[in-house]
Amino acid sequence: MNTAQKTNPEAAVEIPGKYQTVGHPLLDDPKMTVRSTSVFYAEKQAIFDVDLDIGKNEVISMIGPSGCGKSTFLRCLNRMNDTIDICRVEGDLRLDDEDIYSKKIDVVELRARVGMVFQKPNPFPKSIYENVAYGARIHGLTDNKVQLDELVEKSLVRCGLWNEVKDRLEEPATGLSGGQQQRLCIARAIAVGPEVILMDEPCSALDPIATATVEELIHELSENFTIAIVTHSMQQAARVSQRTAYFHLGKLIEVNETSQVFTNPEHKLTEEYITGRIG
Amino acid sequence: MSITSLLLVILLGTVAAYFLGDARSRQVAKPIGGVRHLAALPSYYASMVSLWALIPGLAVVLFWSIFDGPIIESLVRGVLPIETKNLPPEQFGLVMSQIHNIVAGVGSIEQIGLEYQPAVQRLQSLEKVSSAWMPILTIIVLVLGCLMGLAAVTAKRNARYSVERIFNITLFVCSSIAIFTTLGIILSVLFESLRFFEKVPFFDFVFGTHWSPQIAIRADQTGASGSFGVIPLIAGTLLISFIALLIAVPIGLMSAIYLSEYASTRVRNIVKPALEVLAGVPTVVYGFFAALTVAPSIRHWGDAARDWGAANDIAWLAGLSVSSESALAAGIVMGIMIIPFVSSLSDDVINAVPQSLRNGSFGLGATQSETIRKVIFPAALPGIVGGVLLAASRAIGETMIVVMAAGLAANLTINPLEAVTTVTVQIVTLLVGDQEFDSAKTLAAFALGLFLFVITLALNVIALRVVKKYREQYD
Ligand SMILES: Nc1ncnc2c1ncn2[C@@H]1O[C@H](COP(=O)(O)OP(=O)(O)O)[C@@H](O)[C@H]1O
Ligand SMILES: [Mg+2]
Repeated sequence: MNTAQKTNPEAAVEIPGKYQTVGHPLLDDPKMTVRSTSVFYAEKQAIFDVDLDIGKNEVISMIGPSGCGKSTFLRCLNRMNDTIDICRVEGDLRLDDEDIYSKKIDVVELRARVGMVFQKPNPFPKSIYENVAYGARIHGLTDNKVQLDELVEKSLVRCGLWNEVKDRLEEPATGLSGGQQQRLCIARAIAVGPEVILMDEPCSALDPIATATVEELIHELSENFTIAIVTHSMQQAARVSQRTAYFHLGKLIEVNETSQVFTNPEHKLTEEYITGRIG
Repeated sequence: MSITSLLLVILLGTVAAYFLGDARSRQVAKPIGGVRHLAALPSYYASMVSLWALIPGLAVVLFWSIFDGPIIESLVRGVLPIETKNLPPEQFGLVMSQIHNIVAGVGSIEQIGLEYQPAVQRLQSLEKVSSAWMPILTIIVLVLGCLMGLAAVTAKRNARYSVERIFNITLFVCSSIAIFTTLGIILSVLFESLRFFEKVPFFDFVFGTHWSPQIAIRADQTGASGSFGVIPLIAGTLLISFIALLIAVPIGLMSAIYLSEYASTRVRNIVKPALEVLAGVPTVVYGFFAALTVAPSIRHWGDAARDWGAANDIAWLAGLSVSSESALAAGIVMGIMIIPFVSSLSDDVINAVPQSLRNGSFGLGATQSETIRKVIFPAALPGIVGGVLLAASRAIGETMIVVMAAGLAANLTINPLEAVTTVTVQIVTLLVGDQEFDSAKTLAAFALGLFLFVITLALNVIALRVVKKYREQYD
């Protein structure tokens, strides 16, 4: 393991553009690698020179104060930042050692491999069935109705939604409760068969009970998928993730085992955030 | 004193009352320790006093002008000879207007008979009294109102509420004027139409397929019995509107999609206002564009196609005939005119589709056009339909272009190369020129107007409903 340790963490943070992340940002056999990555919105830099690996079948959570660039960083991983005109990404980002920003890569295919779940549940104003079938249809994943039905059922079953909606697949998805909608959005994402799932505060619009179901779902999905989740709740990070990355003002301050980050943070800023002095 | 100068006096009085009110409120404020101890600011007291002066003053003028005429008339009537009083209303009206004329200095009493002498004198003296007393009474009321207003300026009285209430009432009155005017127009059209349907049976009108509203004016005229079948007009209207929508919907929709989904902010800021300029071109300009440019060129190409067809023995082409006024020309130009309706309304609804849906679709690996076709368009569809219906009702009610480019011939045809006519055009032709106001021909215009009104109203109601339903979906 490549460990980027350093003697005086605070001093390093103060020098713009030149700092080192404490903890273990890099791994041996990663699913995705991010190197020297910076993101700019027009002139304003939102992410500073981040190095991070995301492991196979791990759940990594990103925490940090509002506006520190967690969402921006997450959107780099499936090039959702491309949809923002003024956004510019620099650096080297790889999925299975393939440069995802190279000219050769097909963004559409990339996003099928790296799915995304958003903060606010955003089901399409279509039926429940059509929502789940959407990705499969555009990517031509199934050859006939029977296969499509199967895929829809399998995805809904995996998200624990099947029993709740199997009698009302043709009803509009917008009629589901918030928690059901969010699980539907996850089902919609996994129906495409992604390898990595990005989740941007997937529970922040949900009540505690719905949050618990979604967290349980994330836990189950981690057996088969690599998951990067942004969260505002430290308890949630602690419950669902193996590693935790702490961002501060666009810089990746610390990456460590989740248990370590919450019990024995290495960096002073992380500690201040964990103990509630920042944020 | 004329009404105009009286209104000027009222205005001056109001302004004076304002300053008096302002001064008075400051005067009231002084002994109790300044303006901040008043319940409202001096400007509110001033407004209150000026309104106290203005409203009664205006009311006097208004009621005087309304009741002046009838009251004088009934007084004059009292001194008319008994046989005149028993005349039928039209002749009685004639006599009265002769009397008025004489008082105004037109004609002389000898022409209508000396028995009207007392009436003339009565009218003369009454009008003198009336015109002398109206300004006097108005000014008295104005001054009284002003004084009462000044008396009402006390530290405790909150003039803000009074001003607020009067403001409220004024707004209410203005909006009711709009509503009552509309209601009045509808009722008058309705009653005139009912008179029309006394002369022409309702079903002949609605289901008749022949329109030629010429009516014999003299008994010896032949061949002009008049027939009022509205079907050819409806067909013409629908044909032209259909052509217009055929042009406007695809172009408007696609430019809306381009503007909201693809165009950069810079392009959008230039193109969107430019498109909206189209809506500001006066329809008469479109009209002569249609009549002088589009229609002749259609005819030109039609003739060229016919000659080519004749030379090459293509029978159907050789028989082609394009009239110099055609539904096609009017429809094309009208289509261009309503593009901005479609594009700007569609642009609004497409923009109202939440960004989160786009992100959701992109996040699943959809391309931009897939996202537009499968998510954005279906989500925006009800709103787009609403916009198209509004554009359609605009097209159906449009007059100028069709008057100039589509012709007057009431052909029942679906051939866009022939001249057709529309409901609006016929209303215009029925009413221009000297007309008797109770012939079936003129009354037919009201029936057509009613018909048109019902159609466009229905379209608008449906459109608004659809749009509203769509709005609720994302709230
Ligand atoms: N679309 C955008 N355009 C311009 N600036 C943005 C945009 N999105 C985010 N930013 C800026 O980038 C910074 C990081 O934002 P974000 O990634 O949303 O933070 P977080 O998700 O951690 O709250 C913020 O300063 C924010 O103002
Ligand atoms: Mg965020």
